[in-house]
Formats: sequence, structure tokens, C-alpha cells
Amino acid sequence: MAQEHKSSGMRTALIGLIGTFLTACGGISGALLTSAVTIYQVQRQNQQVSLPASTGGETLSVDTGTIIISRQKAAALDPAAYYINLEQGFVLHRPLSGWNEMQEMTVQEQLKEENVTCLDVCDQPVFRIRYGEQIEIESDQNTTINGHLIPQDLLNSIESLYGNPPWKLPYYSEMILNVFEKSEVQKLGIHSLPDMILLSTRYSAGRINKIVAQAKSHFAIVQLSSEYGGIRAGGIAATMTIDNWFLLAEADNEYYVIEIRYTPQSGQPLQVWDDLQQYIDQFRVVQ
Amino acid sequence: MESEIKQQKSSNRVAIIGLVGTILTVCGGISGALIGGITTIYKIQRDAQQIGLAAPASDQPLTVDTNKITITSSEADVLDPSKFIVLQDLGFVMAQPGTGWKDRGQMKYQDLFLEQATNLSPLIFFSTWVKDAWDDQPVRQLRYNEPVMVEFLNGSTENGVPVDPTKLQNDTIAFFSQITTLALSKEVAGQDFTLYGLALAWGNLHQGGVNELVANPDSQYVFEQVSWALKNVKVDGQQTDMTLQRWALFSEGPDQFYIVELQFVPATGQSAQVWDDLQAYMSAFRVIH
Repeated sequence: MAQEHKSSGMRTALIGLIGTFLTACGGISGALLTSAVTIYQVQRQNQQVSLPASTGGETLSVDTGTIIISRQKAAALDPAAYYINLEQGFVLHRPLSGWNEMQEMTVQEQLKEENVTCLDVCDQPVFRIRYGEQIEIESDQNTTINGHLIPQDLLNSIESLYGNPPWKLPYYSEMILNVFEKSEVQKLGIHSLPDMILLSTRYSAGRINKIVAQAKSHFAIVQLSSEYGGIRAGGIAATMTIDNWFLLAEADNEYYVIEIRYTPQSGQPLQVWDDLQQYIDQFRVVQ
Repeated sequence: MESEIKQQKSSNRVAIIGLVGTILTVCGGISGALIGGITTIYKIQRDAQQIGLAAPASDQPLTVDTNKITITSSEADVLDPSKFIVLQDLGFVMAQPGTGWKDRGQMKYQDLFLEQATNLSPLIFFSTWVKDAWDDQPVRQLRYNEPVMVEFLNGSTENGVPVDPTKLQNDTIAFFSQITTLALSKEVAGQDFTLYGLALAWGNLHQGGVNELVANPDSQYVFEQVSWALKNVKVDGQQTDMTLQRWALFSEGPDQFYIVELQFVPATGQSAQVWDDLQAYMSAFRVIH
């Protein structure tokens, strides 16, 4: 009889032990899982960058964790929605409703539009998507940029390009992608992504609000703003802020520089901003 | 019957002990895992704050702990004066010079131009843009006493750009390991430069020699590493190539931008202490808020 009870006690103890073991394993696994998810979230947060315009305008967000995709994944994307360029290693979303056709040109052709003579990397490709019609901005020697008069040397350059003031300059909400072969820009002394950042922003020292360039990363994001005072937009006296964002990415053989240009004072629908954000969201580097 | 009740009580005791054991084990396990997770997250965040930038072909990074750059005025006041120089009026803290180094005292930006036959660091080439607007801006510099004398020859280059020795005032130039801090009034920097504009302009002066640029989100600083390659020059009577390594930290206080430019000149037979001192100087830099 006593033997029977002893066995029953042993059984209970054994079941308790197994219960202990299972519960402990479950608890630890759960806690580990939670920790792993939290760590993943922290790392993903580090990859997601939001850069607001300095004037309290829109905020562009970039998820650097999703930019790179494989050739197979790129090839499987819907060509009706995406422009897939495997040769130059990138994917762009095709123009959304209200946007003009994508323009493909060279740096030389792009500069020629502004009567600027191309000196370097002239045959490198440019892809541009513009919204609607241009907005004409009329400026003169009394126009201010970020509260300061335009420096004389810049005034001279504008005058040589556009003649006597007032100057009528076109503005577009747009996305421009420059693709630079590394072998080409090396001739200009560009050996790294930081060099590329410097090249892209070399005339903007007084307008840069923020740079995000994390260590050992293949991406950088730059935000800059220019407030133009004493201008006329669409024939009406105005102050206009133009916000630019640059996303720079590096692949094995190319650098990619995407520029987003936007102004809240264009009178264009808010959807234009959402579309620009979508172009950035859908940009991929194929590797 | 009595014996049965006894046995049951005994079984209950075993079960309760098992239950207590279960709870303790689970609590221990969860706590351990949570502590492990929190430690890992903390480590990830601290790693992101500690930036080490090595020169190319070097395994020796210069590190900056961006979490420690900013201190309060009262914290600055209690720093050990045998190790730190606290410049409350300029809003920053720098290290005391080590053995073999000289604190060149309170200088002005224009003083950097007055040195003859001495390497003019890129910091001063800002004058190309700002002319004399920065002349009175305060500068502090710690300099290693033993320069490396470099003679430029026909065919010498700096970062790939040919040097014409006939256009130099002296064909032999002294290059010093040094750390230079410019406290630039934001009012004076004015329209020309933001914090990031300063960093990019400084990098642009290196003619394609920028190896690293780090600017983390939500942080008001930029850290850069650049190379300045001198080819076909003469050092100690020997024709050779030499690469100067430079780092710069750009940060800001309420009223000033700070450019901390560090130059390391490698030299044959030079003590490793020179490098360690430079690292210590960079680590000691603080902005007072």
C-alpha cells in the first residue's frame, strides 16, 4: 500500500518536473522571442530615416533597409507599374496620375536646357519625372535666398545665362535620378559615397539643413531648403520655399543620386507630395 | 486511511514545491532573457553613438563617443584641471597637452595664415569663401613638437593635383601632427554655412580624398575622415610618398559651431604615443551647453 502511494507521489513529482521544464522553456522562448523582435525593431528603426523640411513643411521618409533587391525580384516586378532597368541596376515607379512621361536624357542634354555647357560626365544618364505644367518664377537682383541677397558672382552667372532682369525661371515639382558609373566619376576624383555627397551639394553650403549618413552604410540622405523672397510666382508677388531632398545610394559599379524637388506654395494638390514620397519608397537598387 | 491522508499530504507538498520551482524558474528565465534583450538593445544604441573611423589601409580607428560630446557648464567646472582646459567663454573643453606637445594658447583664425613654410590645414582654406570675415574667430591648437619636413619636387602631387615648387614660398614644408579647434560664431558663419555646410565645404577642400562621412539621425554633429596623399616628395633626404590622415568633428553649441580638425603625420620611428595622444585629445573634446 505504502509502495503504491510512494509511486503516486513520484508520478506527481515527475509530472511537476516536466511541467516546470515545459513552462520554463515556454517562458524563456517567449522572452527571447520578444527580445529578438525588439532588437529587430530597433535595427529597422535605425534603417528608417525621416527628414522634415526646415520650414515645418513635409517630411520625407526613406527606408534604407528595403532599397536593395536581387535581380530575380526586380525581374518579377510588374513592368506596367515599374520601370526596371537591369543594365543600370535600378527600379523606379512609373509616373503616377497627373505626372508627365518619364524623360530619359544625358547630363549634357539636361544642362543644355539651362544653357549650361557640360564639362564632365556628360554622357551619364538622367531619368526625370515632372508633375504637370511649369510654374514661372520671376526674380531679379532684389530677390533674396534664405533672407540674403543673391551674391554678385551668382547674379553675374544668372545674367550671362538669362540676360537682363527680371528673369523668368521655370519651377517643376519633380523627381530626378542621376546614375553615375564609378569608373566615369573616378576621373573627377570621386572615390567614395562621401565624395559623391560633396559633389551633389557643392553649391549648397548655406542651405543644408540635415545630412544622414550612417557609418559603413551605402546610403546618405540630404535635406536642404531655399526660401526665395521678392519673387513673383504665376504673376503674383510671393515668397516661396523650395525643399530638396537627395537620396544617394552606392552599388558595386554605380552611384545613384535621386533628387526630390517640392514646394508647398505651388498651388498643386497635396497628392503631388504623396506621389513624390511614393517614388522614393519604390526606388530600388538591383544587385 | 490515516496513512493514505499522510501520503496525499506528502504528494501535495511535492506538487507545491514543484509549482514554486516552476514559478521561480520561469521568473528567472524571463528575467534573464529580458536582461539579455535590454543589454543587447542598449549595446546597439551605444554602438551607434560610438563612431570609429579608420584611415584606409589602417586598422586603427579614431573614435568619437557622440553621447559624451555635450556637457553642462557645472559639469565642465568640476573637470580635473590637470587633464582638461575648460574654456567657458568659448563654450568648449579641450585636453591639456601631453609630453612632447605644445598648447599654442589663445589664437585667432588669422594667426593660422601667419605661419611660414608650415602646412596650412584645410581649415584655413575656408578663407577662399569667407575672405577676412572669420579673422577674429578664436582658435586653440595642440601641436606635436617634432614636425616631418617634406620637400616638394618637380612632379610632386597632392591628392593627384600637381604641385609647382616654383610657386611655393619654400619648397620644404613642416607638417605637424596637431589638433585645431575653431569656435566659429553662428552669427559670423551667417548666411554662408550651416553645420552641415561647414562639413561639406571642409571635405570639398580635399579634392576627392574623403573616405568617410558620418552624420547620424537626431544628432547635431558630423564626423569625417579624409586622406591627403603627397606623392613623389622628399622626406629625410629620401624620395617617397606620404599620406597625411585627417579627421574632423563638426558640432555646435548655442552660439558657436565647432570645427575640431585633427591631423596625423606618420613618420618613421615616431612613437605610437603620438597617435594615442591624438585619440585622447579627440576624446576630451566637449561642447558646453
